[in-house]
Amino acid sequence: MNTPEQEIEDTLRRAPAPKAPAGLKDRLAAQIQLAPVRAKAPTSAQALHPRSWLGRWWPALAPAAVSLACAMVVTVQQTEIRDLKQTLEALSQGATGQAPVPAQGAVQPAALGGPSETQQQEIARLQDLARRLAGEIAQLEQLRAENEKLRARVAAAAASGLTPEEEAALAEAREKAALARCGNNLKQLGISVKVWALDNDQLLPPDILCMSNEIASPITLICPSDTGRQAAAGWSAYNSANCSYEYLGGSGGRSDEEPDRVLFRCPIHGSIGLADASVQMSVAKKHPEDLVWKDGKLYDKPHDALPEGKAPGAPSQGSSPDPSR
Amino acid sequence: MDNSLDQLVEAARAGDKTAAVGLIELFYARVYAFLRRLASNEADAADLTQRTFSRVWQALPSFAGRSSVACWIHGIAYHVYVDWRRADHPAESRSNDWWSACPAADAPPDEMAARADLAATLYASVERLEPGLRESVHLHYYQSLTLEETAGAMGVAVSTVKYRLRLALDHLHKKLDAAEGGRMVRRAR
Repeated sequence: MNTPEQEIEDTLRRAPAPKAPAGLKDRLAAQIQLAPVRAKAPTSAQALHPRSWLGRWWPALAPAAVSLACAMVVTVQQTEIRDLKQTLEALSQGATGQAPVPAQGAVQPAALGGPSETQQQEIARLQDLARRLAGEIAQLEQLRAENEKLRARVAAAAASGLTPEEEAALAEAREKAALARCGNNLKQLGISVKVWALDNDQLLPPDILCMSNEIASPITLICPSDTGRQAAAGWSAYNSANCSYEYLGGSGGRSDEEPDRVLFRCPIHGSIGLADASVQMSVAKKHPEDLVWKDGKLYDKPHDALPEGKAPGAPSQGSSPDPSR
Repeated sequence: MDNSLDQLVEAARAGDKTAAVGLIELFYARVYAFLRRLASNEADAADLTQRTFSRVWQALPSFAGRSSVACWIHGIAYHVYVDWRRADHPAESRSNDWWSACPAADAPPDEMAARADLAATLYASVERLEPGLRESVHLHYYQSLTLEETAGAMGVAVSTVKYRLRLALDHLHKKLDAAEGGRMVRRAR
């Protein structure tokens, strides 16, 4: 009942062929227009037969060949890397197994397979240079130690190098310097009194603080040898504790009438400053008899010029001539 | 045969008009039959045949020989038909009953009548196939091209041709079964 497939195919293959109309062949032949022959026409074998298998498969074979070549290169590189690793391991094992270990980076020629003569010369030169540098370093260390010793000796000499005589002379010089600076202070105070008197009708200032405009600095009021007092930071902070000198002009009087009146006295050095702004050094210590109190005022009267008077604090009220004055 | 065909092609390529005429004698009937089965009338088939050979002469210098000459010419004819169908006659893609005008094969009268009935049904069913299936049947069965030549002529893969032929045969089988069942019903009445 069912038509076999083979019969269907046979029937299809036996299908009748429509006959071409008459004259078609002639028309086709009349319409032949062959193209001009190319200059480089392919040969008959190339044109009519399929290309060789190489020509067909070269697009696939070329990448395959490239991949194969890359694989070969990678394989060769891996082999070389493995060989180099083995060589390095052998060298490291040989280097660690050798005894004694060469000092200061010396190279083992045998371990490296024998360096050339030039390398050996370079190694020898470097070793010689290292020895010389080591010697120079030792010399520098020795010089450094000697320098340290000299420094310590110089420091010790500076600390206690002076002889007692030298130390006494130095102390005397320092005392003289302090005495000179004390006299300088008294001189400046005397000048300040004169300046203040010029502005105040030749009257003496009642105290030191009223001369703050005439005295350059409170430091002037401190004797250099008076280590127990400190100069006031300013006139606003000034008090009697910030002055080393005794002011004896507070009882009044005029500055131009009694030039030999003592206005300032240093209790440490015994120097005095007079109303005429002159200074007599160490009078109270060396010639206390020349200082005479009169009417509550202290005068500097040489012993021969004082007819009668008293010297306060003096062993005797009288005065004795001082050949040094 | 192949050597003589190759010589004809080579001579035609070289400009030998006699060789070109020889190629026409060899292939114009097959090409006309192929196009006549596909086209709707003889005039269109003749026109398409002329177009086909016109393209053959144009493409002859570039023929590289990668396929057989029959495959190459049928490929040109197939593309000429496809272009004609798309551009000029999209509505006349179906051919008429060309088989009715063809002479019947020699066979006994009773057998001939049965085979003619089967063949007419079969050919009519082929013409109702989808375009891709129909052209595959035409090239492979009617034009006696191999599977590779059919694929080369249509520009598709061989597997595609096999698949299309399988679909076509299944479809034809069903059509024939349906037609035979109808005839038996009519005889019973």
